Amino acid sequence: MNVREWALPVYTILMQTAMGSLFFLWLIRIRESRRLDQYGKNRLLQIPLTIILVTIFFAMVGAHFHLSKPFLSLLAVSNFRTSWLSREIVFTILFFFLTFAIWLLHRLRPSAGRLIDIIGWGAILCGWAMIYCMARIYLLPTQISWNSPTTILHYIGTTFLLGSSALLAILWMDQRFVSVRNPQSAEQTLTRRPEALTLLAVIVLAAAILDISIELYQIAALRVGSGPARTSLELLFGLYQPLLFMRIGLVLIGSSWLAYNTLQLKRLQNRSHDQLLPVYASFMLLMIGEILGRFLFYATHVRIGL
Amino acid sequence: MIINFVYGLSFAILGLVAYFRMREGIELPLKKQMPWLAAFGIVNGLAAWSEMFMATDISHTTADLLLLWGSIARPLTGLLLLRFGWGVLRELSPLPAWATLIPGILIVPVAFMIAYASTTFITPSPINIPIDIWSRYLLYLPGAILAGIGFIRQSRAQSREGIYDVSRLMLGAGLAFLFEAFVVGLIVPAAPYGPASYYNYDRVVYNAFSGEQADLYRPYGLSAWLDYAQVLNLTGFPIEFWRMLSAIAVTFFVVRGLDVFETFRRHQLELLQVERDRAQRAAFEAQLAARYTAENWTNALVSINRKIAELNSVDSILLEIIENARLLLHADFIGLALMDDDGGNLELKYLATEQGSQMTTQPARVENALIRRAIETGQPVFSRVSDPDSQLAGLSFHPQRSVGSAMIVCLSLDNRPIGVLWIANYAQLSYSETDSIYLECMADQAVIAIQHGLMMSQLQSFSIIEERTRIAREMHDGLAQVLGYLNLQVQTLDSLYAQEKHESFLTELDHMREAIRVAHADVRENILSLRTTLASEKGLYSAIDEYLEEFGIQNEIRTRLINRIDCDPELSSVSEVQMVCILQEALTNVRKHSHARAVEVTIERVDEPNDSIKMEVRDDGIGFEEKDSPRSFGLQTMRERAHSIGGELHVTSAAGVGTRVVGIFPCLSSESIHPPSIEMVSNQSSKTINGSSLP
Repeated sequence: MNVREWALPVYTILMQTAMGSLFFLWLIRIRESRRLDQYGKNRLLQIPLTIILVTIFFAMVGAHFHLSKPFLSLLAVSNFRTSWLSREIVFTILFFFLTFAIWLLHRLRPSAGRLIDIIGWGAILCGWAMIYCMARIYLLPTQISWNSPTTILHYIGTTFLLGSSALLAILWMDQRFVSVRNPQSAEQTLTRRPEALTLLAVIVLAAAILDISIELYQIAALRVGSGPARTSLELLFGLYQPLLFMRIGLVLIGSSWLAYNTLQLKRLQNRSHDQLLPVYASFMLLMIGEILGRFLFYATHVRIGL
Repeated sequence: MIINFVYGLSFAILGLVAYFRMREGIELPLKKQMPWLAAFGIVNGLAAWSEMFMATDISHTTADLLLLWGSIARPLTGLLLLRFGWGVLRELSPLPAWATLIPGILIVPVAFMIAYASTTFITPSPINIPIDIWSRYLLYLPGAILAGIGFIRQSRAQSREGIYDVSRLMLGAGLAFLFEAFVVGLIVPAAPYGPASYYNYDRVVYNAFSGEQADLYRPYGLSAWLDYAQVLNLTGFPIEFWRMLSAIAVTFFVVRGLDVFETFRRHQLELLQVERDRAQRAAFEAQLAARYTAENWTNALVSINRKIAELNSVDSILLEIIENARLLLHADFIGLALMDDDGGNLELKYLATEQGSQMTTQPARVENALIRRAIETGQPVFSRVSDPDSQLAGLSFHPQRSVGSAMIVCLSLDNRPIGVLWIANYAQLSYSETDSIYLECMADQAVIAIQHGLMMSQLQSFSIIEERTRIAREMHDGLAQVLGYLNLQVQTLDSLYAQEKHESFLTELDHMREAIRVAHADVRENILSLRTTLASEKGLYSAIDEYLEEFGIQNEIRTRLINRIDCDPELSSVSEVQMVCILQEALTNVRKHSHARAVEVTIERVDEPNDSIKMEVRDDGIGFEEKDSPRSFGLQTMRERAHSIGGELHVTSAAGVGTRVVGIFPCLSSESIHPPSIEMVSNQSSKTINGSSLP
C-alpha cells in the first residue's frame, strides 16, 4: 500500500468518525434537551459541530489525494444510478452541506432549535446512506476478502465505535476549553451530567466488542474460503501479524480505558480535568487500532483475475 | 566528518551550558526547561558524534554498538526536544483558551502518523532507518516547531518588558529552531516508503497495466523542494552543512540569550536593590516625619493644656489653638466662629493666616453651606472636588483668593453646638482621616478652654462673694462690735460727765482708748492681709517678707525671716495660699495674745516625712498651756488648712517660754508620689479656694 492509497483510510476513517459523532451528538441533544439550560444546549453543539465539520472537510480533501485528476472529482456524480462510488460522493457532499447548514444556523440563529433538529436528522440520514455506499463499494466479486455482508456490518460497527469515542473525547475537550475560558460556566457543560457520558462509554465498549467480533468472524470466513481468501489469511497472519495483534489489542485497550476514564467521572467530581490526558491517550490508542484495521482491510485484499 | 563533529559540538556546548546554568540556580525565564534542554543538547551531540565515528574505519562490533546507540539516541533526542518545546511554549504565560483544543485536535493526525509509521516497520529495510525517519517526523519536527514558537513567544514577552537585547536573541533562537525543524525534522534519509519516498525519491508512477514507469510523480510541486539532491543542487551544499549551520545558530542564540538575560537580571537585581534601599529610606523618613508630626502635635497639645492649667486667658489659648492647627495642618486659613448670644448666628471670633493669628475686632458673620451641614450633623465635613465654588464661598475672608478645599468640625458643649473650627486651603486638596482627627482634637481643646474659662469666671464670682462675706463678718465681729462698744462707752461717759464722776470718767475713757487701739490694729491687720497677695511676680518669699516687715512696723514687734531655700519652693499654688494664711493667723495670735517683742519665721526644706517645706513661727511671748485653749478656733482653722493640702501643723507652747508653730507643706514632687493624697488635696483645696480669699 503506497502513500496514495493512504488517502482511502484517511477519508473513510474521518468520515465515519464525523458521521458517528454527529449521530450520537444528536441522540444526546434529544435526550438532554429538557435537562440542559440554553447555555448548556449551545455549548453542546458549539465545539463538537465545528470539529465534525472540519473533520468532514479534511476527509474530503484527503480523498482527493487518491484521485489522479482531483479537480475533475465532481464528474464522478454523473454515474449516480449505476455506481456506488458516485452515490457515496453525492451523499458525502450532501452530508457536508447539511452539516455546514446546521453549523451556520447554530451560529446565526441558535434559537431555531426545531429547524436545527430537522436538518440534523437530514444530515444523519445522508451520513448513513454515505456509510452504506462506502461499504457497498467493496462488495466486489473480484475481491474475495471484501465481498461479504460483514463488510457493511464492519463499516457500521466502526462508525459506532469511532463516533461514540470521538464524541466522548470532544466533550471532554470542550469541558477543558470552557473551564479555561469561562470557569463559572464549566458547571453547565455536559461533563457535569455524567449519565449521558456513561451511556456513550457503554456504547464505545459494545461497539468495540462488535468490531472485534466482526473482525474475528471475517478471519474465520477467510479460513474456509477459496484460494484468494486463504492468500489474504496468509498475509494477515504472516507479514501483517504484528499489526493485526496490535490492532486488536489497541482497540480493546483503548475502548476499555476510555470507558473506564468516563465511568470515573462521578468519583472525580470537580477534578475531571485530571482525566483529560488519559481520555486523549485512550482515544488515540483506539484510533490507531482502527486505522491499522483499515490498513489491514486494504492491504490483505487479493484480487481475482486482472 | 568535520560537519558532524561541529554539529555534535554545537549541541554538546548547548547542553553543557544549559546544565551549568541549571546548576547555578539562576532565575532564568526557562529555568524549569533547562534540564530538558541540557539533556537534549548532550544526547544530540553524542548521537551526531556517533554518526561521525560510523564514517570512520571501525570494527563491526563498534559499528553495531554505535548503530544501537544511534537507534536509541534519535527517538530520545526527539522526545527530549518535544518535551522542551512543549515546556517553552506553555511556561511563559497561560496559553489562550483555544490552545487547549490543540492536543485534542492533533489526536487524529498523530494517530494516522503513528499507524502509518507502524506499517513501515514490517518492511524489509533496516530497523534503524524507520526509527530515524519517524523520530524526525513525529518527535523532532513538532518538538523543534514548538520550541521555535515558544522562543518567539519568549521574545515577545521580553520585548514587552523592555529587555530588547534578550528579545532579539530569543527571536533568533525561535527562528533557528524553526530552521532546525525544517532541515532536521522534515528532510529525512531516503527510504523505500512514504513519506520519505514521497518526498525524496520514490516519485515514479507505475502503470499497472503496462508495467512501465511513467513520469515522476510531483504532487502539487511541493516534493521536489524537500529532496537531499534538490538541496544540494539548489544551494551547492549538502543537507548536513545546513544542519550544522542550524545547530550553530540554535546554540549561539540560546546560549547568548541566556547570558544576556543573566546580565540583565543581575542589573535588574541591582536596580531592585537600589529601589529597595530607596524604599527603606523613604519608609524610615516617613516614620521619622510621622514621629515629628506626632511630637509636634503632642507639644502643641501640652502647651495648650498648660496654658489652660495656668489659667491663661481664653482668648490667648484659643489663638494658640488655631495658630498651632494652621501650622500643623498646613492650612492657608483657619477660623473659629462661635454662636452669638441669640444662638442663631455664627460669628468669626478668631482667625489665623500666614500673617499670624488674631482675634477679630468686629466679629464677622459666617454663612456657608458646609459649615451649616457640620453644625447640623455634628460630624466633620470635607469639601469635594465636585463641590461648586459657591459651597466654599465665605470660608477664607480673603478678598481676592477663593478657597479650593476645606474641612470643618463642629464645637459642641454638652451636646449643643457652640461654634465651628475650620481649615481652608486655596489649592484643591483632599484631607485624610488623620487630618480630620487632628482638627477634631483641636476643636476639643478649644471647647475645653472655653469651658474652663466659663468655670473660672464663675469661680471668680464665687470668690468675690465669699470674700465680701468674710470681710462683712470680720467687720461685724470686729469693727462693728468695737464701734457698738464705743457707742455704749460714749453714753457711759456722758452719764459720768453729767454726774461729775471724774475718776470713773477717766477710767472709762482709758478703756475706750484701748478698745479703739485694738480696733485700729485689727483694721490695719485686715488691710495688710487683704493687700498681701501671691498674684505678683515676686513670689512667695517676697510676699512673706513684705508681710512680716509691715506686720512688725504696725505692731512694733521685731520680725525676722530666715529663708534657707534659695530656689523655687515647688509648692502648689493652693499650698502657697494656705501657707500664707497659716502665717497670717499665727502672727495674728502673736499680736493678740502673746505680748511678744520679737517673732522669727524660718522656712526650710525637709526630707521627712517626704520632700516638704517647713515653716516655723516662733515668738518670745508669754506662751500658753495647750489645755487652756482646747477649742481654740484659730488653731483649729490652721490645722484644717494644713491638712487640706496634705500637710501637718504642730503648736508647742508653754507659759513664759513663747510659742512655736510648725507647718509642714508637701512639695509638688512629693505630692506626685502619693496619688491618693493628690486627690484628697485637690478636692479639699477646691473647697478651700471657694471659701478663702484668692489672690
